[in-house]
Amino acid sequence: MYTSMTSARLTRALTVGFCVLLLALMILFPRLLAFYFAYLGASLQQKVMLAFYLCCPAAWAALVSILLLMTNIIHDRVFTAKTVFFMRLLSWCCAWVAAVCLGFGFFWAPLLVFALGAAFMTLILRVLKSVLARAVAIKEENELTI
Amino acid sequence: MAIVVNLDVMLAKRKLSSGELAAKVGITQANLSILKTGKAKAVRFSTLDAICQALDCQPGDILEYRKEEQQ
Repeated sequence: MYTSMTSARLTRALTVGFCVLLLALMILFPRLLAFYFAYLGASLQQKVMLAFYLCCPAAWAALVSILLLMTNIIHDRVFTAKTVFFMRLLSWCCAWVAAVCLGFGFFWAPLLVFALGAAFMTLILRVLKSVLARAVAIKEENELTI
Repeated sequence: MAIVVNLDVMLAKRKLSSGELAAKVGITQANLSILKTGKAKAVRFSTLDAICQALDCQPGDILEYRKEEQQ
């Protein structure tokens, strides 16, 4: 039977999959860039590569946050300060990617689309984080009502 | 907090232990401890009613308002 726990486990498995994908991308990115974007020229390719590798730490931090978040959800630790912290971290990761893509978007315009997407994701995550923080406060108040 | 819980004083006056009061009121000792130490954020009327009944006192005997001094 498909339950919310199955969904959480599936999300965690997908996150692990993304970790592998990101690792593979980090190794193969220079070759992929040279193969698919040869028309960009060496100078622009270097800038795109720099943008990608600048985004990688944020991507790793986000993936680790999601993994820990899903583990907490599986262990029924949802409305805690740690969850709020992970959500905040995720939003900052997205904000970092948005900033990097915005900066390098001046050299290669398609990156501006990524910047817009990441900025919108940051906004959504900030709202979710605020809702979660309020829920944690309400839960704490409820627990301390005798 | 400006609201002080004087449960210890009333328990001493009535010569009751925390465990006995918790059993009479129908709450856990952990919750009673939260109440006694002033960590509680709110008290249900039903709990207050049960405490007053068990200790034969008024809510004012248990709860006290103290104006906080501004630093």
